[in-house]
Amino acid sequence: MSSGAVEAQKVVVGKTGLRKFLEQNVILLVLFIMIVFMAAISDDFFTTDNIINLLRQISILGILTLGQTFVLSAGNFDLSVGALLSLASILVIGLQPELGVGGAIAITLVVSILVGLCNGWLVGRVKANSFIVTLGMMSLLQAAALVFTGGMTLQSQEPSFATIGGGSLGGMPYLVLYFVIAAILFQLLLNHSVFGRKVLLTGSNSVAARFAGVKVGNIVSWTFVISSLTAAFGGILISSRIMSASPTAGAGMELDVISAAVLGGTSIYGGEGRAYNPGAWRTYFGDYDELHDTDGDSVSVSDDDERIGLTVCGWDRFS
Amino acid sequence: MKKMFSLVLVGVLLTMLISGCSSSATNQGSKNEPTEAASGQKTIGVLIAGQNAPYLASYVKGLQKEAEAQNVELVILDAEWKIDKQSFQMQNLITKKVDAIVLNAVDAKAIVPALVKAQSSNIPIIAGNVGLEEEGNKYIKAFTGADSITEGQGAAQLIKEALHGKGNIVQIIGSPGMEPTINRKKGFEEELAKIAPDIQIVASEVGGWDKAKSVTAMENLLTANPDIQGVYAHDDTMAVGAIQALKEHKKDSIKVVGIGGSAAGIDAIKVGDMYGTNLQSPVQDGVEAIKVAVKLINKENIEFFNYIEIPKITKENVANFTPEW
Amino acid sequence: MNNTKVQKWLIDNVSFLIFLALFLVSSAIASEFASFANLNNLLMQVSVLGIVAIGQTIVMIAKGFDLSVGVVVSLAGIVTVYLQPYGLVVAIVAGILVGVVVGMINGFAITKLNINPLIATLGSMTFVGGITLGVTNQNPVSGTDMNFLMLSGNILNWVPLPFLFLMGFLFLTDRFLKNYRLGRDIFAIGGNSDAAEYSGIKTDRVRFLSYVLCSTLAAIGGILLASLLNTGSPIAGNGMELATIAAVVLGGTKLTGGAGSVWGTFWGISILNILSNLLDLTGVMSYYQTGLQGLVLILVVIITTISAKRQKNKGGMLRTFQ
Repeated sequence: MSSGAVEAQKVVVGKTGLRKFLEQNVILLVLFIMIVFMAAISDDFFTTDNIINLLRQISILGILTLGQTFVLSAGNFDLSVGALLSLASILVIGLQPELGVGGAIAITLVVSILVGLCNGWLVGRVKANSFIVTLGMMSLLQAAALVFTGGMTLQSQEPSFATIGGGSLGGMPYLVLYFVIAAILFQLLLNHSVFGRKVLLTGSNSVAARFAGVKVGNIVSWTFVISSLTAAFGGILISSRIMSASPTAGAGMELDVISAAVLGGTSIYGGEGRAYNPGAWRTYFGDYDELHDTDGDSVSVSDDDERIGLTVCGWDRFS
Repeated sequence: MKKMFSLVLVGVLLTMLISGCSSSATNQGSKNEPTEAASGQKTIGVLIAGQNAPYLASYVKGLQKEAEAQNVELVILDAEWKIDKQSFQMQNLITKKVDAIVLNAVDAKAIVPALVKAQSSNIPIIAGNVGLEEEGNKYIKAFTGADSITEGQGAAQLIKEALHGKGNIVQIIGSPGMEPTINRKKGFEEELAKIAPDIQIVASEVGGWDKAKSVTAMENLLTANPDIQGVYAHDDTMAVGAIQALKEHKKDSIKVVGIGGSAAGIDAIKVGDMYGTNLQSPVQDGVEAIKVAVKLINKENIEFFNYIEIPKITKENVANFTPEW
Repeated sequence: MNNTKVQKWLIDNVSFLIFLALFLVSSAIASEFASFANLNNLLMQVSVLGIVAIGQTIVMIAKGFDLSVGVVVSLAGIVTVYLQPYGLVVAIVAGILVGVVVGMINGFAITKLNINPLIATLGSMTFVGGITLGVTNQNPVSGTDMNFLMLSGNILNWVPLPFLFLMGFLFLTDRFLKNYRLGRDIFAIGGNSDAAEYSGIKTDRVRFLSYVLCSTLAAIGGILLASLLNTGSPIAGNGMELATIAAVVLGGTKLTGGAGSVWGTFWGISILNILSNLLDLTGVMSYYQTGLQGLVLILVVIITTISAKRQKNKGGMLRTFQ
């Protein structure tokens, strides 16, 4: 972890303002180029419909990525987010008949907090390796989702539930609004608050953090709780959007989320992180799918699209 | 405080899992007694591609139902969609000396060497739900399941009915390369060209058997092809995804036809969102597999291909069907 | 004095001990477990994943990651099966070359372009995965040369040939890492890259080599798997990236680099395999199997963490150089 701090310093030292900004935000530049490129080759790209579709498609993954950014910044991994998204999407629909929409959402969030605390306790207190702990947790949660549904897909019978993820405000889907609000909040929390500085310090040098009076174990626990909450929120949104839930909805999402966070400038060895850039990267991913989608009107092109969609998102490779 | 709480949580998780396991172990444990039990009860080994797929979860219920009716034991092994794991599991079943094997292959080609090795054991093997192609068929005694060509043809007949023989449609296909994708497309396109030459397929997109992906696919299809009257999806899950996208874009007059007869599909037909579907019953599929396996064990004569029926469901007869998956 | 030595041995070999316990428990629970056929099956099962995991160990000791091993397994198998008409030797060499090339790409991206290993190898996983799906059109390809199957056959009717390969690679890699300068450089880089650089190690070159070795071993694993299945399939290596990383960490290699051993990894792989075999033999439903495997993973990592802490408290040296 300490060498992560060394690398971080290397980047900062000796760079002038503009150069530094560009280096740290190269992903925005890539995104800008991608958008220009896409607009040039596809007529449909700049239609309002398409832009909104695209934003909607990236929002849920974007929200998960925001949570993962905290875990990574504190020097850990959270591989359990994909399975937790599946479990949450199932609980929020499966519990509706007994508890109503509100109750189901509340229980889902409570379960996700418990999962986050469990991860956080094992990593922060027991000091077990986060990669293995959350990999194990991923299997546990996946099993729970399968046992709960018996492998079946669940349908929601509560029409009111659809508005949470399916509604829109003045043409802008709620999903996109959630993502934008979450990105702003998380960016403030990570880079402009005492808590955020503690997270980054823990990630860059946990020993130094401890000497500086940071309760490292608690900070680590909190990052896992945040990550779990975003996963649960993502699960609720996905269920609400398609009014059904599959026990494997989030399978394989974890690597996608981590890579998005890392491409956004978060170091996997901790100590560096930004919340707004993951958003940019998600957009880039989304673009890539979109390019092939709007142009594709024959099956052969669709095959390519599927291939690229699958592989870029690394989506099905682990399911 | 938090530490205590987490401890309690871990404890609860542990107990849940262990109690879950032991109960399942006792459930199935009794079925795993050596096959040469005094009662002379026969054992059928089942290799399932992945029980996390709703269809296969229900397929297993069909297997279990018929196994109980016929008084045979089942040993069910799940490959979790890994091809090497399934070939090792084939060995495990041979080690256990089961009387017959129902193989629901993850991959029709990669399982062939395991089938060759199984030859010497003389255990009869049938392919259930997933066909094995020519090279694999040499080593098995029968196939049970649905004929994807028939399903595609049925969908074409439904689309013709829905559009009165004229219009533009789009197709949402399953994962490319898979047998059902290929034949549901082939059966559909050939039948449509024959019975309704005035219906044009203007575009196709991959939905990959996934609802969320199909919503996106349908959105994109609509952007590129505003003038369509019908949608054919290779299964109900994707059809329901398409319906959602159509509703969001206020295009619900477009007729949707699927294949499967899943809960979501049947619901959509009931409320009038979907025109119709072709029922492939997973329970019936499983029942058929065990029936044929038992006949094989009893050395009765059987056909190689044993297809299940594919009835059409539309609003008129939807009340007669209860969803199975 | 003697007591601490015993304790140190126990702690150093905790993954072997867990393996042993699991083996004994399995023999007791499932009557078929210790049968000849099942043990033979088990040896075959650990072979492919074991060989791939050796490569992963090397990379991880150098504080790296390789997420592309799974697709290399798939692509090497596909290429070897495709090229069989040109002769087996050509086909196998081409399969191995797949690994070498992907390894070089990974190494280049990580050392010269300074891309984070996680992203670089995820990128090549995407790229190579796209190639495997493209060349096969998502369909598996069957082998045509029956001699190819001999690669995964049994020697003297008992030991699968791939298992002998595994043992050979384990032995060679272990020697290489411990007794050769290059091997020790890998540990040094993982322990502290800057310090290694100052002490004159060409860190880029060593890191580059670690990725080439890793992908090459993955390719060899892929060829053996293709021989076993007589098929090159685009999904053959699915999920191997996480499985190998889990095995490597279970075997005591640190994610933060600088410590670890290939034998530890072997025991890690064996633990995962025996567990899955036992659950199959006792007929535990797959949903519970998934959960139980997760639980065991968590328990094992707790045990290894606590035992490592003990050792540190006793004033044991950091195990940078084993």
